Amino acid sequence: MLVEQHATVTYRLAAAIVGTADAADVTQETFVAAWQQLPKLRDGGAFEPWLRRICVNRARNWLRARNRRPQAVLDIGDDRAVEALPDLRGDFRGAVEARALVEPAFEGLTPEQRAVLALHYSMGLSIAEAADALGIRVGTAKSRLNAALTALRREIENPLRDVETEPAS
Amino acid sequence: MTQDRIVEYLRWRGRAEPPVTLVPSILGAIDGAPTARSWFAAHLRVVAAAGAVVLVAVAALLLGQSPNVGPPPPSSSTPVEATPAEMRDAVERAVETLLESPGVRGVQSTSILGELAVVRWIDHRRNGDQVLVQRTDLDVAETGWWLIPDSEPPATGRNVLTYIWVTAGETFHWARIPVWDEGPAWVLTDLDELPNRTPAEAGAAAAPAAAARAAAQGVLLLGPNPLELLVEDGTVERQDRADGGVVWTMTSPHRDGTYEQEWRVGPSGELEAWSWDLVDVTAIPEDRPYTSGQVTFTVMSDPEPITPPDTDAAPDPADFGLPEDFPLGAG
Repeated sequence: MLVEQHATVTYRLAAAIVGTADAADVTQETFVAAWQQLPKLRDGGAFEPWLRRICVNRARNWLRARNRRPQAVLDIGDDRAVEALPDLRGDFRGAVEARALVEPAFEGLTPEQRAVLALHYSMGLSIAEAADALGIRVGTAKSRLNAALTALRREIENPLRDVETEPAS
Repeated sequence: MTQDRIVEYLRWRGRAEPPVTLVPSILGAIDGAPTARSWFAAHLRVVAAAGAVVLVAVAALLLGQSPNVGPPPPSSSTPVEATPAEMRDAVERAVETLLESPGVRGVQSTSILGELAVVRWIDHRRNGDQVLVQRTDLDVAETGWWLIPDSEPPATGRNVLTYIWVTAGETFHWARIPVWDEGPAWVLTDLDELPNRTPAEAGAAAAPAAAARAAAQGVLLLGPNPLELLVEDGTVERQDRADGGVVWTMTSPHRDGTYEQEWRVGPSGELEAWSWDLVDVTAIPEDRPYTSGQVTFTVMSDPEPITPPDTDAAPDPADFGLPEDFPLGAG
């Protein structure tokens, strides 16, 4: 029952951080770890944030374990992406186009940046809740969130820059 | 690009739908992992299980009735004590009688701490054909807010996921709203691909898939789960109604809470309604029932046959007769 109760929201958090291709694996790792660590949890009301922290850590580790450089921010061989380029500085036609452009940029962020964006925007958590999940102070979470947004915007607005200059996450 | 577009994308990332195999795979992984149980582990399962009853007990029950079941018929007798065995026999007969009807419509609702979480509407035929519409308020049903003291759902009525399952003859179609970004809105599903479990076994997260199978099989989903709540150590009362119907009530302990159930049997012997509240859950210091659900049925003597959906049309529950004012429709 515990798994069934929290599987969906945990999966969504994992998907928001690592993407849907790996979300099920991260979710599974999260629950296995939670199950093994349950004796450490003494406060029933704190279960969900506790599970969330495990999921975030697993997701970050998962990203690091990929041990690869960020994917090309924009594949200029992709006709759809090239077509959308003018929209970067003009009117945006819709969410689908936005998704096509933002997703590659999101992939270029560090695990920490992805996590804070996912917690606050994707999962709708407050800054304090996001800070708790990340194990950092609220002020740090705020600054990290702003930095992540700035980085995301930079990735979007400079889609053709050489990603090889970016450090591996 | 505007900030709104970026935020919209980030929110979209948080709405991914898990695969139906997620829960089984997790449970399998846990089964294979070394366990370290504690008093709290066991306790937490109780709490979570109680909360999951929202989607589980009722997912099994399925047919539900709208939040407004209506006033009960007048009673002509004072309640008398009865045995759980007598109640079980009566309820089982009432379910069988209901299933023998040419057609049945049912509406079910489930709430968590008073917040409407899931509603279902079913249109069933004796030959097994049926339409099932399920609406889930994801913010209420799936965010686990009830485990946090003094908390509220992050929102209500804004993030509703609707499923439509249609069994007609040998075909089983299903669709969801919002529809998929890609591919056809209506899916013709191979029954072999559906999880071979009852909704009760599937639990909350996998309930849609399990309910889909139940829908595909043409069963009313009044499966064993509700009847399992009729336990041997419950306190039972029977009250005969003036119209010939009977109202059965049972109060029974359920781990760290108490189940209060009411089953109404009509004068023709068919099951009219069932409702339950899980109250006094010690881990949740709330005055409101922890979880509650209700289902009511309407027998149809000469129903129209159920036909497969027009797969070229956008899925719309109204096309199958769902009332416009059915709850959770605004999402």
